[in-house]
Order: sequence, then structure tokens, then C-alpha cells
Amino acid sequence: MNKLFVFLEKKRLLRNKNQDMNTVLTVFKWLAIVYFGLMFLLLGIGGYFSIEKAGLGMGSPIQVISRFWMYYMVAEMMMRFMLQKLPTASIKPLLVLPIPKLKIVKFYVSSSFVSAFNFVQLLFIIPFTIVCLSKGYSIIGVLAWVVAVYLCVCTMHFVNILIESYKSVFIAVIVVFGSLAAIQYFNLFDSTEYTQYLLYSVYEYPVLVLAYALILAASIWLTIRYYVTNMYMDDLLKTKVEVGTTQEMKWLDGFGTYASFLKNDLRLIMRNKRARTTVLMSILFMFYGFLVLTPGHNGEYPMFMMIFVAFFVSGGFLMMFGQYVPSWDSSYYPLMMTQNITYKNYLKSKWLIIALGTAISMLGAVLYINKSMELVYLILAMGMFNIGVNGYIVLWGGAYLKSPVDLTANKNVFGDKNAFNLRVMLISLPKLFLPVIFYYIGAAICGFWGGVVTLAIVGIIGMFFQAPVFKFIEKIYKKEKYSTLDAFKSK
Amino acid sequence: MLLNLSNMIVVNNLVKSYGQQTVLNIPSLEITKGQSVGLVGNNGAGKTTFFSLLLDLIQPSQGNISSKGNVVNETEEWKKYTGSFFDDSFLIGYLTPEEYFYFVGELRGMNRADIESYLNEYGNFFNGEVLKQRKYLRDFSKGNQKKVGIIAAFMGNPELVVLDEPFANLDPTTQLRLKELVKQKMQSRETTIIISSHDLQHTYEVSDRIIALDKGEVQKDVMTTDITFEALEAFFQI
Repeated sequence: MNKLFVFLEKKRLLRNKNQDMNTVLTVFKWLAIVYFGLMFLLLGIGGYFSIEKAGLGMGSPIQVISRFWMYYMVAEMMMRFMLQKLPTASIKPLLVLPIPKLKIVKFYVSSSFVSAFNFVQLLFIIPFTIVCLSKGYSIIGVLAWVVAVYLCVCTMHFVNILIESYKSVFIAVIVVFGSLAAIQYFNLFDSTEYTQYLLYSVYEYPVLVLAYALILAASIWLTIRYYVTNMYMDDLLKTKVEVGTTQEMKWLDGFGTYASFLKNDLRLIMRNKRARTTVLMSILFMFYGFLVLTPGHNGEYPMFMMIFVAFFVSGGFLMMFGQYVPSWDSSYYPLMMTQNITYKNYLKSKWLIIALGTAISMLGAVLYINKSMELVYLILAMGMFNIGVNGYIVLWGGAYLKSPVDLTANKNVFGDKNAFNLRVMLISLPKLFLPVIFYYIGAAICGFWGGVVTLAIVGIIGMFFQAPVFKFIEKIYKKEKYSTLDAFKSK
Repeated sequence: MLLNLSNMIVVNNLVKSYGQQTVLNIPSLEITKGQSVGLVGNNGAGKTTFFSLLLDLIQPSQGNISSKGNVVNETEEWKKYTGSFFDDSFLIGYLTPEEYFYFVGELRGMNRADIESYLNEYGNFFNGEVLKQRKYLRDFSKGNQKKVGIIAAFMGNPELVVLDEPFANLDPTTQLRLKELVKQKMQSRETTIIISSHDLQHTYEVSDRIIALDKGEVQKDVMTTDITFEALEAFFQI
């Protein structure tokens, strides 16, 4: 039976459209895996010695790791949440075949486990164990401890699936992370003082490893149960019929010809979970600065980080939503291509929503007034750059992206739920490099203000060049039209 | 009918092939303004391919189609007077039917009042199952979705209406109403209607002209006044 599933999976991957993009993704994925693999390996071999050398006064290296394990878990959880792909499958044809449901679910859940996210850690764990054992720690203690560490890693895999499936798990994870962050941020007390025992006691009482095994078993059981109970056509196709109310949105009529498109895009965002998530994410990006900005020793923020933050604060919407233009319309692209709209107006309306979203994101600058006025100016300048230059680039790139967005995907338990993944990161890179280059050109001439003014001026110039730019983009869209239509057909 | 300059559609050496396989080959075909044409044929005969070419959704391998003198893959002029409905990829799932009609109507240059009176006029077509249902289009049944698409295709008095398999999935009552609608449009002679169907009976009833495609080629092209239904049916019997 499993052979059949493996066969189906293989065919699905091989016959997937959009092969070029996938090849690029695979290359980057493996680069990342190799990078992290090496890092883990180095830490595994040298970690013990460098912790000992640092002399933190927190006891043995095992104790030190136990102490900071919480932070590692938080970091890994975030990486997983953003980058790990969850199991997807088109389950409908299998439902009517004589295969027990449990078997289908077990296969897909276990195949999801075969992911670099779950194995790369072994590169740290195994050498570290060897070093510890050679240093004469209790054999049973060390073994139980590393098994517990790995069980935690495995548990996170299933928690990551459950986050998407159960609201309560999602909220629980947020609460735990939030309180950890709050304790840390306000310097209330050193929480690691207490949390270290969660892991370290396994070393002292090896039997406790069973508790970790139990937690993993529970998370596996919950995951399987979730899929089994949700494997009905209703759940697969639509969870519930939403109450739809006609919204007129007359306040948008001022935009003339583009009004009806803007209305539709707003409805798209409000009524589709996938689109809603991306917009929520772009709001979260407004707070990105609080996460990454730490003042250097002279009390100022490093310039490079500020540029980064300015890009993400003002460009969250551009990145999360704009990136997927015109893919958002993929399920009804033939309609858009046959209605009484010229390609140019269609593209312009898309640009307009990106520009409006970016303009609103620029308001995020207000959040940082107390932190650094320089950052506020940077965000505003970066916003103008994003509207005047990156807005076009996003549209231009969209002509080639051609990956259909299945708006109903979120309703499907096996559907692709990730709104933010490696793909989005990759295609965002050029949009990030450009403003960095322009800033540094300006900064080389006139310092900080030179950089800010250059960004703003380039952005404003970009806005004035709408007509020729759209002519160019339209040409590309027209050339790509047929293959886009074809690609959007395959969901 | 010999010298009819008011041609709506002119097909010129049209060939569509995928690799070695030619799926459509129509050397020439003319469709007069105001004519109602039924395109019939078995699966794979090339009906949807022809429609997709007509609406510039796929590219011809050779030749072209012009609509009112506009070559469809060269200009976008034809979009102004063409209404069409194929399948649910012509519907926006997250809109209510009303919002969808407003969207399409506005694009066709209708104002609020026009759209409302249009919907009133065709209200009975929906059998009370579509308007004011407080549901999004994606949650409607296939048949009701189709009703929305068909009615939207006729919005703003388009000069050309292209419907792919409109009778499939429709309940018997709506099939009758659709036939009424098409006949009514036929009488005014202002709208050219091209309908594809597997169903000979329906197509025969609502068409001035029947074009039978087989393996991508025109096999039969007759006026319904010149052929009996039985004769047409005999053509498909193998």
C-alpha cells in the first residue's frame, strides 16, 4: 500500500508545473541545508569546549545548553513556522478507493517527517554526545539527555502542523512565546534559571526521558486524529458556508475606473483566509524593528539593520501581497482576460493597491518615533522607494511567477497553508538589494541625509515614469499571457 | 446571403496544434452578425479549443480569428462587445452574486440603476436561488454558479456572446428558460450567439445554424431551416 502512496507522491512532484522555479528553490534549499548542517556540526564538535572556555559559571556544558534550550526552541519554532512546508496532498480521489483512512493519514504524516528540519539537528547532537561521553559524564545520563533533546525536536515538527490546525495550539504557543519574551524584555527575572531544570533533570534522572516520549506521542496522536476526523469531503472542500453580505464600498468610487478593482481586492483580502493571513503578516512586519534592533555599544543602532528594518516596515504589504499579483486572481484569470478591461488598466489597478498598502505601511514609522528619528525618516524614504520603484518590480516579477494561489486552500486540511515560505523570501531579495544600493550611493556622497534623500528622490522619479514603465510591463504580460493562463489552470 | 459584409466572426486558416498533434484546423468560417450558432461535437472535437482561440485565451499555431474586423490576438477591442462564460474560472468565488454582477456590469459600462433593472428582468431565471442568498459564489452549487455566469455574459447588451456547454449541469426548468432567453435574443437580431453543446436537441432548438466539429475539423455546416432534427441526429450515429 505504501508503495502506491510513494508512487503517487513521486508523480505529483515530478509532474508539477512551474519546474524552473522549483529548481531554483531546490538549489537554495540545499544551500541552506548544507550551511545549517555545517553550523550544527561545528557546534557539535566545538560547542562543548567553547562553553567550557567561556566560563559562564552556570555549571557543565550540559547544564548551559539545558538553560538556553528554551531560546533555541523558540528560534527553531519560528524558522519552522516560516519556512517548513506542511504535508499537502490531493486526497479527494483516494477517499472513494478501498484504503483505510488511517493508512492514508499515517503515510502523509510520516512522509512529512522526512524533512531536513528534523534531521539536521543530529549533526549537532551526535558529535556533542561523543564529546560528553569522552569527558566522563554519566553514560546513561548523557544518552537520556540527548534523546530528550531530539524528542523535543521531533515534537516541534508536529506542533508546527498542529499550530495550523488547531487554534488553541496556536494561541498556546503564542502565549508561551509572548510571556517568555515579556519576561526577557522587561528583565523581570531570569526565566532560564527555572526552565533549565526541564531538560537538565533528564540528565540526573534518566527515567524522565519517558515524559518527553509521552509528549511526542501525544502530539503525533493529536496530529493523526486531526487529519482522520477531518477527512470528509465537506471538510476537504469547504468547512462551512460563510454568511456573505454584499458590500458596496461606495467610499472607493473616487478612484474612477479602478474603483471596482480596488473593491474586489479589498474583498479578496477580507474574505479569503490566505489573503488575510498575508496582510496580517505585513502588519506584523511593522513591528519588525522591535525584534531585531538592538543598540550597539555607543547607544546607536547599526545603519545596516536600520535599512533592513525600514524595508520590512514599509514593504511588508508589498512583499506579502504584492508579490502574488497576479496570482491572487489565478482562479478567475480567464474572466479577467475576457472582460472589458485593457491589460494596462488591470495592471494599473494592481499597482494602485500595492501603492496604497505601502502608503499605509509607512504609517508604521510612527511606532519608532521614540526609538530613533533617523529610522522614521528612513522608513518614509524607503516607502517612497517601494512605491516608485519596487511596486513596478513586483508587477514585473509577477508576470513570471505564475504559481496559482488556491484561495480555498486554507479550507482543505491537506492544502498548502503556508503564506510565508522560502519562495516569498527568495523573490523578495532583489527588491531588498536595490534600495540598499541606492542608500549607500547617496550616503557615500552626503552621509545619512544623502542616502535618505536619494531613496526618496528615486522613488518620486519612479512615480513620474508610470506611462513608459507600464508600457514595458504590459508588453511582458501580453507575451506571458498564454503560459500564465495555462499555469493557472493547474491547481 | 451571398454578399454579406456584416460578418461578425471570420476565421482565417486557423490551425492549433500541440507538438505533432493538430487539434483544430478550420481553413475558413464566417459567422454573420445576429446569427445564433450551435457548435456540436463529441468530446475532443475541438469546441472548447475554438472558443479559447476566439477569446484569445490560447494562441493559434497558424492563422487567426477576427471579430468585427479586429484580429483577436492583436488588439483588445473585441473585449468591449463580447460576453462569455465557460466555467467557474469565469466567476470570482469570494463575491456574492450581486457583487459579481455589479463588477461585470460596471466593466460593461452599466450604472447601478441599469444593473438593478437588468437583474430584475432576469430574476425569474434564477428561480429565487441566487439573489439575496447571503452566500459567496464559491458556496453555490455548480448549476447555480452557471446561471450567474450565463446571465452575466449577457450584461450590457454585448454584440457577441460565447457560451461553452451552457446546458450541462442546469436543471430542466433552467434549461427551458435559457432556451427562451436565447430565442428572445435571436429575435432582436442584434446579438451573435455561439453556443457549444453535446446536446443536439437543445442546440437544434436555439440555433439558426449548426456547425459540427469532429477531430478538429468542420464536418457539417447547415442552417437549421434546411435540415430536420432526425437528419442531424443521424449524422452522429456511427
